[in-house]
Amino acid sequence: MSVSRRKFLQGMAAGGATVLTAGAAKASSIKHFDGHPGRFGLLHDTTLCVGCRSCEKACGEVNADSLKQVAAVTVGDKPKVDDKKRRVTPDSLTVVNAYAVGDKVVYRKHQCMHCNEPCCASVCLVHAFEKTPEGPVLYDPDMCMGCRYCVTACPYYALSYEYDDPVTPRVMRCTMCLPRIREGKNPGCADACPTGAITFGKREDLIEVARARLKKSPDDYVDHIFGEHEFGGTSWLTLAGTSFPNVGLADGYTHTSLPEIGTGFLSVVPLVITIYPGLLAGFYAFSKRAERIGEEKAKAAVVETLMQADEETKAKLAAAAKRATKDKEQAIAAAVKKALVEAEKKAAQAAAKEGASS
Amino acid sequence: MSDHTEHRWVTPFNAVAAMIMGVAAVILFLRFTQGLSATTNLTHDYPWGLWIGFDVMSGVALAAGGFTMSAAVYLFGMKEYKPVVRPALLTAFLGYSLVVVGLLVDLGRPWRLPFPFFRQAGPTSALFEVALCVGLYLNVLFIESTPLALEWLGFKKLRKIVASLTIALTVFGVILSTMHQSSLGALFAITPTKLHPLWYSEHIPVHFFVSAVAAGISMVLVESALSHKVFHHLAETPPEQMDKITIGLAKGGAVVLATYFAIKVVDLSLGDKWHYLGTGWGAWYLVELLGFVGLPCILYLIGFRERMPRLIRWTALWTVIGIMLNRFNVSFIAFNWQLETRYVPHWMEIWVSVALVTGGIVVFRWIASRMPVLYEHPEYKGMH
Amino acid sequence: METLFDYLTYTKGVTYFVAFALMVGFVPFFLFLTERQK
Repeated sequence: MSVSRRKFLQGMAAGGATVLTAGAAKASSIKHFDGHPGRFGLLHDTTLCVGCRSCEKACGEVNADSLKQVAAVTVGDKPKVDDKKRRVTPDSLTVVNAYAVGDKVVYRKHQCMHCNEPCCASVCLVHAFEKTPEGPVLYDPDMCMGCRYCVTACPYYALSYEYDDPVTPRVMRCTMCLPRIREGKNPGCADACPTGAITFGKREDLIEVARARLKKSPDDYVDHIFGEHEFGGTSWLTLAGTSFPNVGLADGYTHTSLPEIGTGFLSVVPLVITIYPGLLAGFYAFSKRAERIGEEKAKAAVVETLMQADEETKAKLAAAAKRATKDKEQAIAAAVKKALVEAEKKAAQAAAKEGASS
Repeated sequence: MSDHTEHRWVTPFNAVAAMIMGVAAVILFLRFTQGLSATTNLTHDYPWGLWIGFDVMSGVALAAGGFTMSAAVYLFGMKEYKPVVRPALLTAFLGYSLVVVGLLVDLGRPWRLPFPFFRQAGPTSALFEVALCVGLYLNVLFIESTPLALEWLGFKKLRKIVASLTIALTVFGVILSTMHQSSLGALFAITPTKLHPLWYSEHIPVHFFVSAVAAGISMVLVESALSHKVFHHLAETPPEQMDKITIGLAKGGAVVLATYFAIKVVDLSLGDKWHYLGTGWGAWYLVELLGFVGLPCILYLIGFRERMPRLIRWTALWTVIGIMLNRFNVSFIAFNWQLETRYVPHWMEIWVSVALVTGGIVVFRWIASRMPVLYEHPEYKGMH
Repeated sequence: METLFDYLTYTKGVTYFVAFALMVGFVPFFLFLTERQK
């Protein structure tokens, strides 16, 4: 009975542990998130882009109300390869840059990529970013503290900050025209593009579109859709006829999302909170114990010294006593001797006197 | 003792400090009326500059002496270091206060500082962790430093209550420090493509924590050397005992720096980063690793073995500079290493940072010349 | 929950409270543990 009961308990413990660890494993690594179903995205096909900057102009017009200043854009004023590479700023949320590839010029549009797992959102300490079900990553200036960690963290250099505003500075970025999407319209840039280089649609459909293009004309494209998997994937997808580093997008980004990479270490934090009290209490007990043992040793040493001192004193006393008796005996003997000598002297003197008188 | 010290207001030190602070006040006025662009060289590519790299990142690391020393004395039982605990805790408290001031200057909307705690939290952010811990630790350090004021003012009952909390506060302080010192490194765990691979590491939080301990010990050495020079008439600890403490701390510093050196090299191996050492960035990395970690480690070792307190004090200063260099490298020098644009701090940024340090020194002087920092209050001798 | 970000926000947020409660809980545990020694 007792054996079977113990076995039962062991089974319970093992079973419980299995359930717990299985749950943990599911949560940490096996759990998978596909993102909001049916969310939107955009496809930029650099092989079709002519660098006319219609998208830049449209972007400024569509967002005019939310920008403090809109950069002046002339459609057809193409960016040059030698130009200093422009980046998105608070007054132009998208820019088209020119890249020399061989003797050809390739244009690529820069803007917020609207990551599936946005790293800007995961680094925000006031949770001012939200990945909306429609796909865009939305920023809430009413919550923002202005720490600019999001601008620091973005791997695509797609965020900018209103440094010249002392009172209400905001992080600025492409909104994927979320208000227009909610009205059922296309984003401004997609509508403005005269060559069809920008396509708006459901992200899963766009991936199919991109695949079809890669299959149809494999000679025109590098066989890769940038943004399908990079750092967990992005809403903006890019196709190119040259390797992506040539157009300012790095090769070989991991598929692991940045929030996963960046927050991995933060899991240690609750461990520190829960392990340290016991650990430090252990150190404290250890030092106290060493102190106590030290004190006890010191005490014992004192007692021993005292006892040793005691014995020595006794021995000394005994020796002294012995010496004293000896001294006394010697003194007595000496006294007796002296007395005898004196008595002899007296006797001799008396005899001499007697002899002289007779 | 403090009754015998005359407090004159017009001294060369005070004049220079007032000048620095005055100009800084003008700069801050500019910053809060014209925006960050008027006083800093921050760009969209470099959103974090000197005010984060120095005021926050270095400031927190250099204030690590508080938790290091209080843990050593109160938890690990190294009683002989007790004379440096109080100044270390005071330095830490002032250091963290300056970190918060620096942060307020750098934040776009500083009046929203309480937002992460009272409006909306972002628990996935390493910065949230840092903010939470720094906020809590500032309170811990404040309570740990109150005995100075309480003894000075003669509030015995309150002083006794604080003393009874020593162990609990120390444990809590060590927990908070471990967390936010490493989380400051974790800020950059999310920038694998932007920070140069030699500095980026998945273990960068551990690098930050270990180097912060080294910085803390070194800062205690620098601070005690300075304060014992300036306040030699107040300091109770005889120079021979101070030298003994210095030599003991050098031993600790050598071990921590050796550990730091080792984990940095392990990272080169784990990430197969050896080939980067041959590049220009590699040379700069070696300057930091060999010149500011390896060299001070050896100097501490020599200083300890040969009993050379002077060498140890200079080594401590060198280590402090080295850890600052590391924080600069991570936050803006080796950051964006693939970009052509570089960040060079504006003179006004530098001025404000210098003014912050000056402010810290002024307050430290004010407190140390009045309250029992460098000596034990006669009525409370042997307590704790 | 559709994204890892939402999941992390939830779990990390909750864990802050859980861990903090456990740490505070260590205080009575420790006091109970060491009471008899005094």
